Amino acid sequence: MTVRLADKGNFRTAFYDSMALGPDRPAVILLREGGPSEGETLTYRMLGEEAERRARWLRTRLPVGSRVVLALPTSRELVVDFVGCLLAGMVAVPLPEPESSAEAARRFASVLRDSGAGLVLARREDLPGTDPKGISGPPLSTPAAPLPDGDIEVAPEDLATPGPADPVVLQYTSGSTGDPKGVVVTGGSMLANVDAYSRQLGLGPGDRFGGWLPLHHDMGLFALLGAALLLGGSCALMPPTAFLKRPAEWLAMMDRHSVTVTAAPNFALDMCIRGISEEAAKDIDLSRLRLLINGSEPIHAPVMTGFMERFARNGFRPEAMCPGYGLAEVTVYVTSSPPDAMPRVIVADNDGIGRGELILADEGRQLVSCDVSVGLTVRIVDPATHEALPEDRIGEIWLRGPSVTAGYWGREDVTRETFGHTTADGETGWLRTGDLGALHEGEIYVTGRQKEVLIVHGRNVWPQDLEAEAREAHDALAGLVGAAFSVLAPDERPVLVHEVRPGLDEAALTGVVRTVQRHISRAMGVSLGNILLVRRGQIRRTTSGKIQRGVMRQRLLAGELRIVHAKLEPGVRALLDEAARGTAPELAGEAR
Amino acid sequence: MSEPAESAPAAQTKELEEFITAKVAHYLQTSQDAIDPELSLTEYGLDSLYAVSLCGDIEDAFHTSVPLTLIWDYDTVRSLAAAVSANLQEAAS
Repeated sequence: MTVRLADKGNFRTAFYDSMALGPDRPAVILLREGGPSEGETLTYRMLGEEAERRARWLRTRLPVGSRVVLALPTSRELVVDFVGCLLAGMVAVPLPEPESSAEAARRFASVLRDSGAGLVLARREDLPGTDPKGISGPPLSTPAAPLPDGDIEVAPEDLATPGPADPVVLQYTSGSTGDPKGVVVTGGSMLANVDAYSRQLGLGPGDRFGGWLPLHHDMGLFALLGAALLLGGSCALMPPTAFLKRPAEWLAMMDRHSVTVTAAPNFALDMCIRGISEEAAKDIDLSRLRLLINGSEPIHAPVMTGFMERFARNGFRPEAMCPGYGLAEVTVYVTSSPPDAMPRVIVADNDGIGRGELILADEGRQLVSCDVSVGLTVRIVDPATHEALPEDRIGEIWLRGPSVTAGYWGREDVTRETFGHTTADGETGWLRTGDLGALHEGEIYVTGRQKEVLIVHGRNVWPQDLEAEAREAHDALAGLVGAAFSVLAPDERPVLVHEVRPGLDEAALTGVVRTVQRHISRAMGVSLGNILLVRRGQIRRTTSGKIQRGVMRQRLLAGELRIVHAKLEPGVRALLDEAARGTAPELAGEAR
Repeated sequence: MSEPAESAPAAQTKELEEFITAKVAHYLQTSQDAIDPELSLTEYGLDSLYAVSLCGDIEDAFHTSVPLTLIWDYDTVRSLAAAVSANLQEAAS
């Protein structure tokens, strides 16, 4: 009887068990943009040797448990450094390269402070030389510190591996730039989560994981690379921009490397449908792909089925489409539909959803089943009374189980807001996800979100960051207030309502909107297609000054805002027109 | 000799403009007539992701490298076509 992954205790044990299955088997295959299609293969032996050298190198510099920021592109050095951190008992903090955007640079600086990082591993050209924003303190290793030759003397006791309760990774996807929150993934939560993920989907050493998700994204780090290394499989990784530039390369890479498990957000499927020509796809065989986990942003049923139909001719089996639900606070994975059944889509009445009830109807909103979680206990809870709700009632999704992480790094106050809650009937230890959903025939259907975060292309975007960037973009907004939120039109679209200084004519207002759009696109990589300018005093705030974004969404959709100037996408315009006629369907987020 | 040498870049810029217009219209799921070459692509609501795809499309069709920053700096069809064309001329000279 083999030992279950969850009981292996730490990364080192699991990793060496994987290596024992065959040290010369491939562990990781790395592809470069424009590089050869066979990529660069690291066997378990090669990865183990390089990572152990990195681990010893780290241990000569830092005490066990130090945070090490990994701000590197998808590359051999990133994989080696990540594994090296875990083998050394360091806490890996994966981040986008600071030079990739203005937002990335600010986030980098704020995470350095929040995590108290002891070291940064990055490429020299990605590190701003003389940066006034406070990038100082921890030594910056450059260029990603070449590995020393030969052995480094470290006493064996110095390489003692951390226990299940010790942190292994901080995931900084859960907080805004101004208020960063690093989810503390422990060795125990990581092993339990990958264990549950593998049992639910039948994953094992024979699987080749692969995709383009970056490793600073929980789905890239744990659902692809981490799962491969812990289960003894292998993982083929390509850089995100290679996919964005040529979506067909993702599919071609999966064919070339016989990938069996991949993961991607909804938008990526849309890009494949729109951005891959018949010609580019014609020789690609997707028949060996067992499952495509469709997660990390709201699943739009027509896009999902569109992908299944379009790529059926390439051998993509419709059962391989696995709509899923997850979040960084449980490491990554909650549940997804299984690899041997068609995804289930139901149609729920819009008015019913508005009232918090899931009522099957002929017309309404298409909702996608994420099946039943194997590793976590799920309750749907009334967010006000904390009472557990019965089937077909919409409430906040609460989760409990060993995959739940240890809270936010150094932030007991915010940790208490989210972790360790008690239901009205006295069950303790629940994580409040901030997501809304219902159970129908035992299966989870996610319907919206109570928390204020926007999800843009699978990435969490915090409204306060969008609002701050907008104010920075143009003098006409300086010193005023805005509210960012999303609406369903019918997929999730970001909207910014912002106060504007008086005295500007129509041409000037058009210029303001244009400048704000360009600035946000450059700084954050978000195309903000919906900007509404209003007079000062229109943005609702609480007495303590907190912006009431949910209230602003309701007021917009109820036609209660006096709008000075608006730039809207066609879908959102149609939604507002419908709302004005009093036939508004249910709205995203439904902050109640 | 000087006349064709001058009109070649102009023809290429025009070809680029037409190519970019067609791609943008495809990504926006609209007609090519609806694309004003002088308007910012962001203003059309062209998703930043499709802007990246547009770089890939131009690279493949014109065998040149289009860095992402180019689309940020030249974000209308006309200015982008001119910028790529200038890069191509430079590479050829």
